[in-house]
Amino acid sequence: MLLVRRDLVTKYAQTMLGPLWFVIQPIVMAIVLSVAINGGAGVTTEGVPPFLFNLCSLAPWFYFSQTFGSVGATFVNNADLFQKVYFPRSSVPLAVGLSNLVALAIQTSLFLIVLVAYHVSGVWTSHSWRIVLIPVLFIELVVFTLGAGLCVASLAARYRDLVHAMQYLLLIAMFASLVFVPLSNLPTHLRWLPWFNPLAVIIESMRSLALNTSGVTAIQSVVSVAISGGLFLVGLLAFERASRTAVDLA
Amino acid sequence: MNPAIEIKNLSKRYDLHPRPTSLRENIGAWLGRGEASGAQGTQYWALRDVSLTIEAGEVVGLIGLNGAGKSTLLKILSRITDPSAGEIRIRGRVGALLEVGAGFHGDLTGRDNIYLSGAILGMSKAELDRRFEEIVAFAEIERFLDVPVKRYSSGMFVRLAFAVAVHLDPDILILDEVLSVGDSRFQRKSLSKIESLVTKGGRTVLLVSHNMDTVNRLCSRCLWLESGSVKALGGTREVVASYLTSAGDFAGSSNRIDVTAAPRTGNGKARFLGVSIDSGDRSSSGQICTDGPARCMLDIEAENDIDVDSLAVVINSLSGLKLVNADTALLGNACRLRAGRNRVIVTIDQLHLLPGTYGLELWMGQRSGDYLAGDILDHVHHACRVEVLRPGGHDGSVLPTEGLIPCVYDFEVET
Repeated sequence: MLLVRRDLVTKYAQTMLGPLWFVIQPIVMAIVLSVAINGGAGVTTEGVPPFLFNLCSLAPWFYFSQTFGSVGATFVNNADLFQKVYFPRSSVPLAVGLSNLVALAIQTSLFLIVLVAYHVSGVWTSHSWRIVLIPVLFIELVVFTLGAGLCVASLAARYRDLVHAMQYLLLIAMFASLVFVPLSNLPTHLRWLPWFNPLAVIIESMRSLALNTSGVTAIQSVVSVAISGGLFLVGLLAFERASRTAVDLA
Repeated sequence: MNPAIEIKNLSKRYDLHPRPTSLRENIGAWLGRGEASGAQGTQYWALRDVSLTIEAGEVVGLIGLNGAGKSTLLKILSRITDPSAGEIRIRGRVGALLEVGAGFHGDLTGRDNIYLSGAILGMSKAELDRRFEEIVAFAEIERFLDVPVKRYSSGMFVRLAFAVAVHLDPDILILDEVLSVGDSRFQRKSLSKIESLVTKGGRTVLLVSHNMDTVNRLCSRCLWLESGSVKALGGTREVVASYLTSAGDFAGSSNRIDVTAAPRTGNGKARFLGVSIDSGDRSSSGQICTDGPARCMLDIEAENDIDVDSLAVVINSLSGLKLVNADTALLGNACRLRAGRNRVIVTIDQLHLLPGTYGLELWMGQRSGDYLAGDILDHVHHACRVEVLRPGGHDGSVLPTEGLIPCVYDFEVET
């Protein structure tokens, strides 16, 4: 779809480093998290080197935050276009979801390269052949992210407040999704989190697949898949409903 | 054969003040508690109970003042927004040309934008490949195809946008004539492109235009909307005629324009009160036609008995160029007015103006040398607008008119 191409080409137009940003972002963020949270606040990471640990979590997290943010603001950002011409509205969020996969792939590759480097230098050698299952995990990631984004977009068509609230939602989500804390390190009264937050399950599973950390239980995975799927359907329906009159509110 | 477009009791409501509706109020309304927000006073019906059937291959004009609901109707037909009530049934692919530049992105090149915008408008890749050259040639941007469109001049941008839009090839074409764009040369090109789209047979067209001459020439039927409802639907000539006589400041046979509040200069010893203009010909509908007669009836109030040296009916082009000046001073007789109300009739035997809209200016002054401020009795710079129609109306001659003044001409090729 051409919209995918549009998103990709225009994202880093007129930046000097261009697509390099895909790589710089997670590295800087991983360093910051490793120093501040794991070093400073003393949060342990099941023995995994914090930099590697965070780099692993950040790939799916960046996908979520970027996609959720722009999908959620679909009606606000595209009001101009939607007022002028009709085409199936859901193609815009779907295009965002697809085009951001490129960043996800690059950032995952970056992580894999660093993982191999750690391996070769002998700093961290534990690995799991389940790592090949990561793409399957990404399917759930896409479904969940789009579902959440579509729900917010439908509401934000009427309640613009949500667009402003989104950055706080994302901040809270970052903590609630175990980006820099392993599940096993949570205090017991917070262990229920993965039952309700598929993103936490996804990120925790990603680490488990790649780094052999403890991960979540099978039932938790199933529940999270169910929640993601349900959210996606609800989001799609709500989005279709909202798109019929959204232009009147813009 | 089934009609191409069927509209039944279509209504569209807008909430004028949707902002204060908070989430809490809405949840309250869902639960059946409290007043439903958006009380009666804040609602606005942009369309109310509009029904219309358009047969395949028909060209229908849509006229009405600003705010009559024309654009809303087009938006609903092109599925940009949903109606609040009523039904639409459309058979065939709809191409809507409501605004140019839909889906353009400044960072992409002209080439990319043609494909992107074309896809959004509903063209397939194959179709675009086929018409690509045509689009580029029409837009006249060959040299800049691979430059991001944000570096384009605004003229290049609209030309490209327009070119993409008019090269879609739908069964049902919905278009707003307002979108003719660019410099005057390209405007002509785009207008004639639109007209060729409309007149290319077999296509169903719904056309919004403020140019009554265009509507007259192109459309077989016409829908007149007024404040969201159908005011008239029927043969173009009748509908246009009654629209002109009632619409705003268009002067017509049955429509006397009150000019008492119009901006004016002059000492006011005599004042224009009202004006109406028709062809003076009872047999026709009273519309003024090219090379036809015109009769201008002026209501004038004078303070005392007065001989007015110069009383003039002036017709200007919309750009302000003075085209016709029927001045009594040139006839040599003063115009005698009695104290109180007078009616003066100015007749023009033949009005040599091509179809279009013109402005009417009224003048009264005394001739004491120069027309200084004290000598001007009353001068209404813009009394009303006058519509000049094509004699014969919808007669199949579809050539647009250029220029303002008609002439009789012929040609031969010398051997």
